Amino acid sequence: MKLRSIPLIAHIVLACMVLSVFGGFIFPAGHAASEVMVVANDSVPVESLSRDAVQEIFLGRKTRWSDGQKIVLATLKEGDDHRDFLRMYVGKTPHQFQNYWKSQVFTGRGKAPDAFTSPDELAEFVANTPGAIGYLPQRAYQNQLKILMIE
Amino acid sequence: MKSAVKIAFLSALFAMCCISGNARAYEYQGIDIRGFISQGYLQSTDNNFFAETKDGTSQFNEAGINFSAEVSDRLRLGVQFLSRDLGTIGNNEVILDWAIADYHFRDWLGLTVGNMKFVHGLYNETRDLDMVRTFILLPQSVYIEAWREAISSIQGAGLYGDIGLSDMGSLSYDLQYGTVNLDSDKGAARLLEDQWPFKEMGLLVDVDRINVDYTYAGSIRWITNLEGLILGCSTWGYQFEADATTLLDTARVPGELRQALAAGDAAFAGLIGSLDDYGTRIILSPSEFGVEAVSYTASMEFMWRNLVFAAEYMRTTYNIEFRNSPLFTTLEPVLSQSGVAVQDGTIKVDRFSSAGYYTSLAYRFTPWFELGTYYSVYYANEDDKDGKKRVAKGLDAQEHRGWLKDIALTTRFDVNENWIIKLEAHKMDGTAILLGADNPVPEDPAEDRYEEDWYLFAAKVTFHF
Repeated sequence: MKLRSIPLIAHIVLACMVLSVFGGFIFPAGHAASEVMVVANDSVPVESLSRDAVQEIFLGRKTRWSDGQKIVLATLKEGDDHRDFLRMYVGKTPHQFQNYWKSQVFTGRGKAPDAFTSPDELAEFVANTPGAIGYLPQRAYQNQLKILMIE
Repeated sequence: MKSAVKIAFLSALFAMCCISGNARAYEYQGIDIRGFISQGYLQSTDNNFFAETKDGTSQFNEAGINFSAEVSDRLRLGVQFLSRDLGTIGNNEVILDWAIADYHFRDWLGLTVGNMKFVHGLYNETRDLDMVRTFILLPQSVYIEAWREAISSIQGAGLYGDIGLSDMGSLSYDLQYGTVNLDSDKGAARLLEDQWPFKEMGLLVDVDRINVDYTYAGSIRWITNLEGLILGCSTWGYQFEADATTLLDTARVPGELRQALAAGDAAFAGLIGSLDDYGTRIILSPSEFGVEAVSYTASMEFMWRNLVFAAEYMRTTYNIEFRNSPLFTTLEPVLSQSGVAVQDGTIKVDRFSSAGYYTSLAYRFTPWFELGTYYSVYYANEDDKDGKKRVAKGLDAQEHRGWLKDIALTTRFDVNENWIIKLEAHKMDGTAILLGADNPVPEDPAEDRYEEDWYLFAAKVTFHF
């Protein structure tokens, strides 16, 4: 094989980088973080969590509440609220979060969290599932959910 | 039987791809079903990389399907079937990749029994999963392709857990003990054949069987309180015996060896007789290998927004001995001239360590485009980085068999949630880790067997659900 292929690959890479910047696909750097709140089912025996605890929970490292009840995760599939929550509390981008859970699932280490298309669906799931925890934009809050304070 | 299993496996995978519709995980009565198919293409200049890559090859793929279910709050069962091909390795035979029963006592203590993924470094457990990483080929300094199935999964039992360290972050640990089924036609066997030190004398081996006595692996990861920073270390060990057919390639036997064999004709009476009366290869008494390998790896990964930086260092120490009493006793006069000591028909290779490290950087520019690069360095023997000693000992004819330095550049395109395309280029300096089986001795004696500077290109398309 001749080395003529290298400039072609370099051109592809350069084109993608240019597209990234000018093509309207770049991540919205200036996006203001939405008001995401962490919510839980009424059965959850805590009123507040540390930020580290939220991270451990959503990465599957902490799997039980203090009363022994199993933690059930609920996440959004995509969107600004999903991205903001992951950035603020989990320290990962949506892509990194998705890869993390794919790795867990495909190596037999865990079950991926339930993911919902809309905040309303997520709210309903959390409200009706003992031990469940999720996150919502303030506008989607429902009265039957417990709001957890993040310290 | 094997083809029936292969058909059943591919049918199940295809059916799941269709049934899942939107290509998300499929769930049936509490059983999660997920899968992936990757097809790649490899092209290289000058040297063959684990397949006939100089001519370009599409014998480079992986496919897997897994089923998992939570039987109770604490008990989880799962199984994954895998099929892969890389030149003569894998050949798309369907294997049980992992099959586990996992009991989660506490967050700091879980027990897994069965066939588990082998812990090593940051990415060994996920090396079959093209969709979770930037690169097509992981850095060969730490994730050597020839060792891949040897450290893919381990049959036995393991303990794992996560321990909170308060303001210091948390620790994740894994301890595994068991054994591994190593096939005689896979990369580890080919690597072992390459370690046989008498190739230049026309003596060759073909590994028939590998019996693993034990294997262990352990890993600790410190998830620090500096956001995105993970530090880790891991170790694994192996002890196995191998039986091999010993062959004498009469076309390559040097004069002094011919004399030694002629002198020891009594010991070989009826076996080789007059060398020239036989074909080009004569089967001699079988050889045995005894191998102990212990490896240590230090790892670091730092994620900051869309940037991922990783660096790892691995050192593997080998104790190898070759046993073939009739052959070595006869050849003792010749071998002693080369400084090789024979004791009770056994030759012990001086303990040696291979070492390697890499640093990698990946950045996701957009949700659909990611760029990555790494620099990887591997030395087959850290006390012989320039390869001069191995040539002097007759282990290899070319010094650059002692190292491999690899600069890689990768582009990853996420076409949508389920389809990924990757293109990758490697600039290689050195030929360590390449297998003799893939790079035969050229017919023209003036031609070099391996070229020091060469390139490798890879492309891969992956679908997963």
